[in-house]
Amino acid sequence: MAKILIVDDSAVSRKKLRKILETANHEIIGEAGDGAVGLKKYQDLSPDLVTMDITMPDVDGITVLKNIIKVNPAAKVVMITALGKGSTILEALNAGAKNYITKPFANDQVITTIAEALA
Amino acid sequence: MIETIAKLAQAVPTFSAMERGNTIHHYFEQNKEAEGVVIVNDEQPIGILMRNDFYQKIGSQFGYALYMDRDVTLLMKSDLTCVDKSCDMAKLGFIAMSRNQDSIYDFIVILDNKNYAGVVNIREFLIEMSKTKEREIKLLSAQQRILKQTHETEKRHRIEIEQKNAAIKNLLDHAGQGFLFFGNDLLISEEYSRECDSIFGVSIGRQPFLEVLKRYVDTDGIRMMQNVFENVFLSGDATQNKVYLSILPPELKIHERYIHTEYKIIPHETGKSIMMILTDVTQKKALELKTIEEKNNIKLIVRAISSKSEITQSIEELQSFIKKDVLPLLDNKQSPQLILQYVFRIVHTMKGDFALNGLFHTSQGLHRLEDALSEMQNRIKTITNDEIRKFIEQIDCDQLLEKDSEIITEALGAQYFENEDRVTVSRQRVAEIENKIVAVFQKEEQTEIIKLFHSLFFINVKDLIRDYNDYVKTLADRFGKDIDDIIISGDDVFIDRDRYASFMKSLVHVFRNMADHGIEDPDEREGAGKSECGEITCELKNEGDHFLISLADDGKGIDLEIIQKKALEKQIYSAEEFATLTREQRLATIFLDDFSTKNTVDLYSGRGVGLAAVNAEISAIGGEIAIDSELGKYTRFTFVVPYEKQ
Repeated sequence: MAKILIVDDSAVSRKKLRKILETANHEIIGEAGDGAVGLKKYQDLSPDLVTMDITMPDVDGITVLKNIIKVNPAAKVVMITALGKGSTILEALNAGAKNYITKPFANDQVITTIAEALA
Repeated sequence: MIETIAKLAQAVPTFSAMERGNTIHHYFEQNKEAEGVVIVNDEQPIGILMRNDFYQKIGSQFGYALYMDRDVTLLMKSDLTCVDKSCDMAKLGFIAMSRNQDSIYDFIVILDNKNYAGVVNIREFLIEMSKTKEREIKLLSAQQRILKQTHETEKRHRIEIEQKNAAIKNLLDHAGQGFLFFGNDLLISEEYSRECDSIFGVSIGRQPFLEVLKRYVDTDGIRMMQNVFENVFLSGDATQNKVYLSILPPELKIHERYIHTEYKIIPHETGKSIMMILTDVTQKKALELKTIEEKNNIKLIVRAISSKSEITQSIEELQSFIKKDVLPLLDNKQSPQLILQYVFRIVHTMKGDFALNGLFHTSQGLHRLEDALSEMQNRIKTITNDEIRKFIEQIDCDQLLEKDSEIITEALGAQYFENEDRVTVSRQRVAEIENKIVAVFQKEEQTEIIKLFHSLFFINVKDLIRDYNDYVKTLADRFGKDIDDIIISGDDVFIDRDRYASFMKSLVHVFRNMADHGIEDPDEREGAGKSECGEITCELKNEGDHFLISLADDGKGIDLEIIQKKALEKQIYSAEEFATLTREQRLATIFLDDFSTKNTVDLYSGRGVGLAAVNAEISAIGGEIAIDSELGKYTRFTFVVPYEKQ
């Protein structure tokens, strides 16, 4: 239903997430393995929603989030976190993220969270 | 009394001051009801003359002569009472009654800008006053009645509200959960459920929420909460608020109790409140921890059986490391830093290994060692080799391994650690462990571990059947038949290989029969419209206290006529006896001793022993055999095999 861009430095995670989202009929229009590429692809592809891993080398997810929001204040970004650290998620929300998903992925939770963010 | 006297004003005739008493008399004669007149000079009143007064004066001695023919001014009362037309009733009343006795009932003249504008008749005035009073009294009564009613209604409503509040409070107090509310000022409202008293131990009404929580949450946590609440109260986006609230810690430890926390937004007319729901889960948690402990113990036991060599190896490595390997390093005069790093690395790896093998207590003990080593690494500048040596020397290996060893020996016996590489487990113990697994694990978790457990002691019938593939292929070659792998389907059935060994071995006769008698050679099959390759199938079904094995071939089936002929020939049945048999019973003849339709006694078949042997084996384990066949189509053997009775 929606065009989604996946940003995560782990290819395994990207694949897992793609699989889950495709079962919910979303279209994965792009993937990025690091923040810089992620930002560029956002600008080029204009997805409906972006999933953004928080912990990435070089440029971390929150910085990319802020840059995307600068480009488009109405951008819908859902953070992916393995740490579950409240303060980091809070920072992301305050910077404009719509919601967050924790790893390991629970299929229904992922689908519901994405649907809510798109609404 | 805001009414003015305007409504009472009457018009009475006026006379000029130059008129004679006669004129007035004439007027009074003509107008019997007239009560008085007003004397004016140029519009302005200068006196009044009331009838009574007039006739009183005229009637006095010499009065007639004195007054009749002379100026009326001699008769009139010049000290008349005048009021402006804007005068109100109350004032008029006061003025009127403040006059002296004989003037009380005189007219009061109304002035309009100093000019005569009518009079007020006192009598009329008094009547009017009474009427007004009466009206006011009525109004007052009505108002008082309404007030009383309102009062009662209000009282009723107040009681209702109090009752409803009490009911709700009662509900909340008995829910066994703590409920509290606060608005954007973060002050806890007075209404909170009783459970909160028990949880916090103090009265929390009107306290600042964050102050109360400071005792149980660290500074970072408080800061995070503050930020979350700020965002929630600022924003009206319900979804976003829910997301913010979801970050808050779901559990707090308050006074040694585990409290599950939930936050909800309660909207109301003037904004919103946040409701916090506190549930004491201490007992539940303790139970959970206990269950996890039990599960870990079982996992350890299963691993102890399946991976004994790995476990004993890990234990040896630990003992060797602590007692033998490390200390020589310290003598070597290596730098404390290198030694610590090395030890830390090894301990870390061993910790992982023990955890993998299910020895969680040992792993935890090693984790504590790790912490101590880490702390020493922080003091790397001042640490000496001596200190490290002392630390290593006081590590008690046996104590590290104690708990896990206990769990193993309790389940599998003390000889577990004595016997080199074997694990001996009694049948009874196997059953006990399996029961424990079922008792402790949930359905979904069970399958995984039961599978592993079974694989240690039991074998899957499917595997046993699969083992016959080579044999069937060999026979097929020998008899010039084309037969593919046995097609196996149905449930996984796990059995004690010892108990069922004889029976499973006897199935060789069935397969032999299928390859020899059952399945036709390719040409014959083609002629019969079948595929050249013959098919043998095996279907397994689990049915509680027994299981079914169905072995079938798609060959030429059993010819009942030949059976009959053979049976009579071998004198197994007489003709009459055979006639009474059911179709199934007739088919079952082939299981009887000495029955065989083959002429030559060859290596593979011929002796009537084959299927009879199978029959004997299945009976020996308390099972049954059934046979079904259709000439030209198939033959099927179905075995009903009971599981071991506990």
